[in-house]
Amino acid sequence: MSSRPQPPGSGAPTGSEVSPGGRRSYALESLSHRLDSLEGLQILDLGGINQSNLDYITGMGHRLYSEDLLRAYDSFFTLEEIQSRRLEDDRIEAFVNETLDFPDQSTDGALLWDTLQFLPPALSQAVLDRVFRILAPDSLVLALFHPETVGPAAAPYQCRILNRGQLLVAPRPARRPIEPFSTRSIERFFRRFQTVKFFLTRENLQEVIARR
Amino acid sequence: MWNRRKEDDFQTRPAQPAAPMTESTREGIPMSTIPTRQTDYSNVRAAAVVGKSLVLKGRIEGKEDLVVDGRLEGDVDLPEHRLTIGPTGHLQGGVRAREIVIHGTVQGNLEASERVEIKKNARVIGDLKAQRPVIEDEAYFKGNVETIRPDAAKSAPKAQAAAAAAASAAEAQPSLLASEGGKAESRKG
Repeated sequence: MSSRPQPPGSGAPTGSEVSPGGRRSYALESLSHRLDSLEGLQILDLGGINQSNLDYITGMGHRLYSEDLLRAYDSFFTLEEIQSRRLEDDRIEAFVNETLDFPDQSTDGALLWDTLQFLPPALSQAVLDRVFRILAPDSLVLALFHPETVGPAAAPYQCRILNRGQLLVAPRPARRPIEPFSTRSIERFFRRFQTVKFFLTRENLQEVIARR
Repeated sequence: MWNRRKEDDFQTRPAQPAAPMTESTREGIPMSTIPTRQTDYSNVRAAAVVGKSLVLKGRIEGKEDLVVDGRLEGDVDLPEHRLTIGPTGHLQGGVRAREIVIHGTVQGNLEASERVEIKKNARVIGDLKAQRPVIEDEAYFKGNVETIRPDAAKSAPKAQAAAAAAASAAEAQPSLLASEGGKAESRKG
């Protein structure tokens, strides 16, 4: 039983009740269930800060660590590295050390959104491996994968949590090269995690909840 | 080194109607920065300003609002006042204040008993603790955010007051409290 105050919009969506512009997210519901049941968690949001996510996570009494992984990538690597998408191992390691400098198993959840799909494969795998390392056992990771690599649906998203089961997603201003991910390759990508659950949503956007 | 200006002059504040011109304001800007005894600031909410071209190194403590448009390397402690980092301002150091508003760049931890606002285009790397953190879209923020519950923020000064009262009592009766402390420790053990 929790007596903690609930953040604005934390009530469960009922039936077809969806906020304007919002979309139902079963992955977010799974994560919210865990956030409800525990207190004082450390949650990572690697999609860049926004007020909605900040209010939602901190309103539940948790701490939010925010980093914009894509902006960090842009500022850390040189233009040549970004254009070639070929990164040396030591540069990848330095980036991961700088961006996710946490002790092992010290965090309790991660919101990756769709960021990993817009990084070069070697870097996205290194970031996920580091996330795995710094997450406590049983922690959840939420990630999104675009079904297409061309067209308007292949743009990076800014994701805002409207309530415990609804997201508002909107394209970010800058387009980026996108890596294709199939269900099979997502499974391989998260192979170190205990379980990986898939939820297919509107526009075939694939939501993933992986348990550490 | 320090300019003073009315808080309303800061560009992000909503425009205020201009004060009526008086004989004294027509005389122009005084050449001396030494405050005179005749000047009455009691009903003017002014902020100290670190100008654009200034670079300061060291800790700042105070009981007035501060605006940083230049570069500051060191901690800032304004527990009952507001710190504003202007669009050209750059702070490297921790901040403790009642309110913190950032338009520029900060590298350091921020702690506000009331509000922290990180404005569009601001860049902040550090942890943030406040009762009401507000971060605008397009601001860059890297770090931890923790909200302080209003009741916790209110009880903190009370706890400090109680500690201060206990300390002054200890000064008044050192031998008695020392012996009580000894008993308490032995009970814990």
